[in-house]
Amino acid sequence: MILQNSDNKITNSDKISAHLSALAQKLNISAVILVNSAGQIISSYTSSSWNFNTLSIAVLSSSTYAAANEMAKLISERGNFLTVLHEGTNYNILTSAVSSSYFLVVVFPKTTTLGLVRIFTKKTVENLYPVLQAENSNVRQQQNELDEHFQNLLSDELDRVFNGL
Amino acid sequence: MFINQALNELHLKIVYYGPGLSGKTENLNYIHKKIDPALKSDLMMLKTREDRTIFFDFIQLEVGRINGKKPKFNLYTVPGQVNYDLTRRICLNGVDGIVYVADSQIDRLKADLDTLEDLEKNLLAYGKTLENFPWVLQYNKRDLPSAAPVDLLNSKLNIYNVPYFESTAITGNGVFSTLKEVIKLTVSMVHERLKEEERAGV
Repeated sequence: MILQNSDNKITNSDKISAHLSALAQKLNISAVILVNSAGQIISSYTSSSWNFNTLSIAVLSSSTYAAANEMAKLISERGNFLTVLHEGTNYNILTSAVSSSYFLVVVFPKTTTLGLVRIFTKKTVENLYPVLQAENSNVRQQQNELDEHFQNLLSDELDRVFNGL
Repeated sequence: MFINQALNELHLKIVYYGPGLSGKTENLNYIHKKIDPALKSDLMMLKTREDRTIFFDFIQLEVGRINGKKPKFNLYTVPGQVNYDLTRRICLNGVDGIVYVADSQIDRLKADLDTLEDLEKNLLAYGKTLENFPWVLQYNKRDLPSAAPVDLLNSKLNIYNVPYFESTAITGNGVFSTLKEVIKLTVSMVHERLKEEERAGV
């Protein structure tokens, strides 16, 4: 299912959210987090029982995934590792590359079958790839809004927040 | 730089780089201690038993909305020890701006120079150069009697004439002025780069 805005326009963000929630709801998954290579959260879906720090998991996943890919280079792998799996006693974390700049972090309980998570995560990754490609060109247009006026307002706001520190 | 359209957030990644024990973690510690709790995440520190950074430290700061956008600043440090070269490179993935924290002590000048060279090499791995990248210099530990004159440090380290700040991170002197400048410089340079790319039809 693809979500729509009130004006019936489907944005790329809507499409991404829909793909993440579809994956989470298909299986018993605690959190699905789409992260870029800088460790920034693009979008996330968390179950109602989720009470962990999503930002910290995104930042750590980004770094451990990057570290795994440096190891791939050291053993002459062609390209990056496609997935990285952390197995725990209560939860597993599966990290899968969407592209060179994005990856998907799936946190799920041990009671959820790993094989199914792998299959459906792979499908979600395939669905996300074209959406992220389209999203990249839109973001470039928005970045052009960082004009001098914006920069002056930002400077004033930093002065306000950092004042006296 | 990343703009989350759904949440209208602007994300910047700033990395504090420099030789071991130059005061990178101390910068983040002071920022974490002083900033309004409503505007910061937890301070994440990945350390060895000996209290040295093994991977990175991280904190996220935010300020009020500007033209509808909420700026969020993701601040990272790198491990300064020589052996952690690959780890430093990993931390530079997706970096938007850099604070180079130099140790002002005269006997650490060689370490400052070596790590600056290491930074240049690691940036190149991402197709970036110090000459065309937003970064600032922070001469830390100015309170120590063995601190070298700023003119000397500038002549050796400030090869691209970037903004520089004197600091004593442990007491907070110079910490926020450095942070403010690197944020301003980063946003300004990203904007210029995008304008140039637009003109060139990239």
